[in-house]
Amino acid sequence: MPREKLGFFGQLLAKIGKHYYWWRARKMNGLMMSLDFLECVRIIYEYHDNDLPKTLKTFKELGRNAGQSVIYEFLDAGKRIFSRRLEDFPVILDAAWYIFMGDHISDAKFIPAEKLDEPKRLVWYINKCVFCAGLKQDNSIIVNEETMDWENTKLTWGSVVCGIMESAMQAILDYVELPYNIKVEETKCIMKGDRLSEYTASFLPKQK
Amino acid sequence: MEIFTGKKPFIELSRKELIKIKNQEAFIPIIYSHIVGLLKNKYGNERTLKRLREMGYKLAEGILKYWTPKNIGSISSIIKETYQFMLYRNIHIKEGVQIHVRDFNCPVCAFDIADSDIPFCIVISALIENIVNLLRVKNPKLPKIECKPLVSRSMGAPYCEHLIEIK
Repeated sequence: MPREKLGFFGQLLAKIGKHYYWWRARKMNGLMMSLDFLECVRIIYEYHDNDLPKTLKTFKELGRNAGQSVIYEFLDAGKRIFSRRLEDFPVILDAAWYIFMGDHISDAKFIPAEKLDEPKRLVWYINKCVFCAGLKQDNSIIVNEETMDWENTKLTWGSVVCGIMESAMQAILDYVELPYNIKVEETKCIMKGDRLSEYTASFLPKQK
Repeated sequence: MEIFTGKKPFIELSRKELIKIKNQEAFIPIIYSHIVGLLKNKYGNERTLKRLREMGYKLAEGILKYWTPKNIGSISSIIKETYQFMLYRNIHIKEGVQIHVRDFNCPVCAFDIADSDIPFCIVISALIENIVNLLRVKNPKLPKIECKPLVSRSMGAPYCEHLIEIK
């Protein structure tokens, strides 16, 4: 039975447990990961005849698949830090992000809906983005607000991360039996001119 | 609306700075295997293998722009150091007329794929080949090599093995 609220020990466990899982994980050098990611994007970019928005869409989908495959390994262990209270999600997110990315998020806030038709949101930012690192100096693929068609697509270079977090958080929501679908977008990205990388998860009530 | 006013200063990392950062490896084989699948469906095996080899060559070029092994005296020392740098682990190398590099934890061969008709780790073979061949500029005594996957976990083998031949 999922717990209703994350208490002191649950929060402590999340803080300690994430280090254990990160310590156990197989790791790859950040440079290698970034270059590997760039080359994977390049292949899909060619596959879609140099259409960047289509490429990023495919990558979000690939991220969803990858997140799904990896999160199921952690669901059983993670049940001790999962709760049905959305206000606890910054703690859960912090643990999941650390296990997946090996870095701390800089800050996360749960934002209640201000209007009836607005979704509740979880917003977080990271002050050192490993995905966009060095990309401005690499002009083999031109990545900016225009080429990503951000206004229409809301897709960024970090779309794969959005996909990973979307499927991971959806699995957690389903596990604690909360009736929400989740949508994750990178709302700020240095490749579109922002000063930081910011992600927003929107909790959309499931239709009955 | 600004939600975060910057508790921590934002740092735009360079590729060089990424060298000090560790990332989770788990997502790469999953994403990579899907990409291989897409390529195979669209282009067929031959063109897919060629494209994956190109990817390995590009990765080698990219890595050497920012990092060089300290010991470039022999092929095996280069490969060992490159594995340590990329994946923080040792690799088993058997040296003779040919060199065999055996990897029980291939970074691109996903655990749940063992029935493919192409070796996913051709990208690693190409990476090894190009790292050694590009380093010949710094150490002309290094021979030119060709590297290819001998067996691959993606094709059902219990490990991946790369065969290095001196040209």
